[in-house]
Amino acid sequence: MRLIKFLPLIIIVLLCIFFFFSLNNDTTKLSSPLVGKDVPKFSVDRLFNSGKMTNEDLISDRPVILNIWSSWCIPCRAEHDVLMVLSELYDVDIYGLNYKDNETEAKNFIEGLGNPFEKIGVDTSGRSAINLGVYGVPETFIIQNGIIIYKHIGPIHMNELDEKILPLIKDL
Amino acid sequence: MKFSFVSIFVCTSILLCFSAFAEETRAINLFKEVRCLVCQGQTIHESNAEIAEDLKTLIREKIVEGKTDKEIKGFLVEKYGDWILMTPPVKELTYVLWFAPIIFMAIGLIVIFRRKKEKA
Repeated sequence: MRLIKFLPLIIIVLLCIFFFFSLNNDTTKLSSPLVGKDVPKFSVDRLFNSGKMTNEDLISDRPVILNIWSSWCIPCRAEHDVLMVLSELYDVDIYGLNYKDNETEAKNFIEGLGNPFEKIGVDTSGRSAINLGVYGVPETFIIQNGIIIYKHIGPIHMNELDEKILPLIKDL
Repeated sequence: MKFSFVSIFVCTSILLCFSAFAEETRAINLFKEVRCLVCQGQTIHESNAEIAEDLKTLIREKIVEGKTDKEIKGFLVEKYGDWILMTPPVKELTYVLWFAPIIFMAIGLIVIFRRKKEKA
């Protein structure tokens, strides 16, 4: 009976602990339900070449990276150096999906900063990005055998490349 | 003859108006149930963020294609997860969320009734 008197207090303390930990939960980085599933079908025009870039391009037994970027996206510029390092130093194919961009500006971006991509697809309407569950740029998918292994939201920083992306790729 | 053509024309336009109105109402109701993922606290109905506008266009198109509300929501959940719906679905993971308030209220009521009995 004595315990019952303290029950409300105990509940409140437990709730406080729960809420405290929830506060530190970053809800702007949402896990994707597409992880573990096949890459959704898409087919888009290419930025520099004629022809299409499709989901089939991303099917390989080696790890493949799909990066959604845009020239108007400032974090993408910061991330671009990391992608350049990744493409030059490591044996991994990177594909780009240019999100709701202006063709000339997108081309200038790549010509100015370098091209780490095997192919760049253009998603002017943003519809393919929605199909991929993208809600902002940049976002990056790691894909193997056509299955999404990991999704990174926001720019990949150098330390994240070392700590998250590279170990994942090496394990595949 | 002329009269019947005119009346058919008028009738179809009225019907089209009504169906467009019904579609738009459905679209708006759906907008109010879908979360804007970059603003989070807002629905896409309240938001004019770019992704919210894109999702609105997509929902309108799916309605025109003849998709049901359930199919449209299912598509969004498949791509973005349950978080995109303002009302969390009732499933194993959310049982506590949905039923804990009812259980707590029941416990409270039981305690109150017992006390009253003790006093009586």
